[in-house]
Amino acid sequence: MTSTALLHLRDLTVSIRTSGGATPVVRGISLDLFAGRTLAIVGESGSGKTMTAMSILGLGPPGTPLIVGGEARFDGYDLLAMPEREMRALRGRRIGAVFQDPAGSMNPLMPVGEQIREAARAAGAERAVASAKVVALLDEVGLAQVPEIAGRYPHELSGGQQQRCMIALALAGDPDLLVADEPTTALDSDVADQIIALLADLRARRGMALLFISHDLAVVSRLAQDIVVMRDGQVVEFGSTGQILQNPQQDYTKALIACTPGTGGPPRARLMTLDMIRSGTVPGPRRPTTPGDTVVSVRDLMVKYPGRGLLRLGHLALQGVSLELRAGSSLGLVGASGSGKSTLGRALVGLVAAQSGEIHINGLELAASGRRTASDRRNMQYVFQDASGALNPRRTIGQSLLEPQRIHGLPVGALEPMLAEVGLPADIARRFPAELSGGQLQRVTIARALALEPDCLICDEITSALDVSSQAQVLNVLSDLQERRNLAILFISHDRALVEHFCDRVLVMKGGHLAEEGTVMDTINASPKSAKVHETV
Amino acid sequence: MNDRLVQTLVPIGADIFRSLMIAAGIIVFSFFLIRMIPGDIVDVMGIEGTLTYGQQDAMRESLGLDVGWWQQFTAWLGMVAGGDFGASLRYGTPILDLLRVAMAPTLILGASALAIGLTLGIGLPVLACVFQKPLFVGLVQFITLWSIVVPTFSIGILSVIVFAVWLGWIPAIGNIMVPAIILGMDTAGTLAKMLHEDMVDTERAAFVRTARAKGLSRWRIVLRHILPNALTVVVALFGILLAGALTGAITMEVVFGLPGLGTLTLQAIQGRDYPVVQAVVIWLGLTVVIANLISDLVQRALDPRIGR
Repeated sequence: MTSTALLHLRDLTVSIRTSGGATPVVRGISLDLFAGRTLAIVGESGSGKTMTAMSILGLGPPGTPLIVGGEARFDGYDLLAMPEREMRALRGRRIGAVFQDPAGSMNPLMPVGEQIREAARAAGAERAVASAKVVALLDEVGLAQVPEIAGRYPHELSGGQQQRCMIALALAGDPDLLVADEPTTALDSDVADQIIALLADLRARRGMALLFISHDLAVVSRLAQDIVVMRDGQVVEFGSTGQILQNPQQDYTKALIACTPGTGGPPRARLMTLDMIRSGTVPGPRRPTTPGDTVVSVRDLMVKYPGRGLLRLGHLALQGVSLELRAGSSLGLVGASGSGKSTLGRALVGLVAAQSGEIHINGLELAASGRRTASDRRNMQYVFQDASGALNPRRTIGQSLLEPQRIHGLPVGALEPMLAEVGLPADIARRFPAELSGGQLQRVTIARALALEPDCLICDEITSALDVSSQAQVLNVLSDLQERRNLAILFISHDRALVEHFCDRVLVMKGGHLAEEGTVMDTINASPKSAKVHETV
Repeated sequence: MNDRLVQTLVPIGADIFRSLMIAAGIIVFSFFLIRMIPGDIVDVMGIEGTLTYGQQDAMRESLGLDVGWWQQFTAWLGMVAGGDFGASLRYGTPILDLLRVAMAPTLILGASALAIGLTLGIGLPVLACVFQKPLFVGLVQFITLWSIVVPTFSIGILSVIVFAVWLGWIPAIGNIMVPAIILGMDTAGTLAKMLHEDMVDTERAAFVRTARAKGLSRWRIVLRHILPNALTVVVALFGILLAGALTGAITMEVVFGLPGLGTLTLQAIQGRDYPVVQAVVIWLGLTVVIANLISDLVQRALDPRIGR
């Protein structure tokens, strides 16, 4: 059996050599990938899934020596014993690779066509053949109708187009195995769907094997025939996709499935977390919707960013945006990066000045210039994406939590209930941000935002840096808080499934405009219009 | 397509406009700067004790130094606008003729220093990046440390003593090879340090991993992917490097007795030969402005992300 596997790993171990010795990141992985099949490795960050793939390709991070042990064979070749020269001949020709960050994965100074041509040449194509091959490859990945695509630079393409180019580049050597490392994580959900469909289509048409690495079970389930679940450098569970999704054996796998929004139950439901499965408890009830009075209303907001330098034009970030946010409800704001969703949040709290339009909070008008009184600021609080950057590294969590009350001259409250409200133990108050996990940090910033008892909370991509299990905890905390305090929440995210799970209403932004609006049920039932808008030009 | 042309040309126009403004500033600045030094040419000659007070006044009048600065300035500006830098107060010869004679050794020295500097300053980091061996990294570190620690004039004087006086390998006056090497190593050190650091940073970029995943050779990865990206940062340094090479050339000329711009400038400053100093300062200033403009334009040409 194993002799026919295209990729054959037995007890693969990878350690990173550090000054204090070797830190193991992969502790004995065994898997088989057969020609023409799709295998997915699923795990959270730090599970060792990327390191597994990179050690197969011999593409460790530069300057960090990897110590690799066990057995890794590709088509019979012993990958671990191969000299670099022979590995180079395998890379590109036999094994192609697509990475997470399409914008950074291509040379910014070279037209994309040239980069694909270079890959084709490196894989042994003649000069004349290589040029024809670029055209064929760009056509194959669905970019043929984009004018002059081959002559464009990476920054002139959208994220989806960049990733299509990366796929074309990886296929330039007609590889037998394509390694795709989180290829859709940096993309908006609509575009990610298209890339998944493209990968599935290419794999079937070319009959190549696909090793797909992702943290997202929902994505993986649409593509893979077999799934390996990894955690802490080890295999937790291995099986066919149906088996893993319908009948998971391990608690960790169960949690991973249950805490993914979209697969994890109906909208507004509390999500299952790993701790709940361990302790045998069940998630709380579905959050009720009782929209109250209007807390925030926005009319015809326009924001223009000034251009830099001499003779450079400004950039219109928001145009004619109107919305209403009610107490006890969550309004989702989705859109591609650069669509203006974060600018809207920032304009609300006065971090950027609006050129025209009105912002009312509790019926009172706020200055468009961004000037805010202390009480304006108290009513609306902001939670940022990067929780570790939003907390002063030299202050304890307790000091950071009490700072808002000190600034506003309010009686300083007790730390314990503040932390308890976001589900954190009291002893965290004495610790420093560096000692906490990403999920814990984000709950701390939520607690800090709530210290002033605001009516409205703006959550800007607050879970995008978190693993699904931490994300579930943060969302559950937000659900509890909204129910208890009747909070109005503006929930900004690029992840449509997440927004549809958490929010009552969804606004879609595109190029600084509101493109569509509706309740969550509307947007789910009537398939979203914007998904049909093909992102290619 | 037309839109794209406008988007490309407008920032270039802005660059050129900015350079012209700086050039105008240099012209004004050069006039007043030399007058900040107390005493004019007549005072300097008076100290030598050859002139009576009457002769001094007559000389000031004939040289046009008796009127106010503002009048002198407008008169001089009118001449410069017509392309005439006037005549040397001391020698009476037209300044453009003086410059023409003095320029040749300086240009040869500056250009060969820059050539040596660019070859070593780019070559060593590239070798260090391709081979990643302690030998090449050590060479980069050596030349960097050398340029920081060793001042060009002191090693210049030392080389004159060792190679000209003791060993007699080179003439004490008029040798151009040794000062070019000294200046070149100085330029190379600054460049090598920046480029090496940028190349080590670029090595970690995702697109370099892509290049490795393509199966490209190490040379190709370095020359086609790492070096151009690292150069976009370093090209901005080019104007400063040229300025360094030129000012370095001036001190080297004095040390090695070359009849170049440096020697001319030093004599003119010491003798308060105002129009000569002004002309040299303007010429050097414009060279640096033009070098900066060129490095801006090269950066634009190298990096499609700038200014579009």
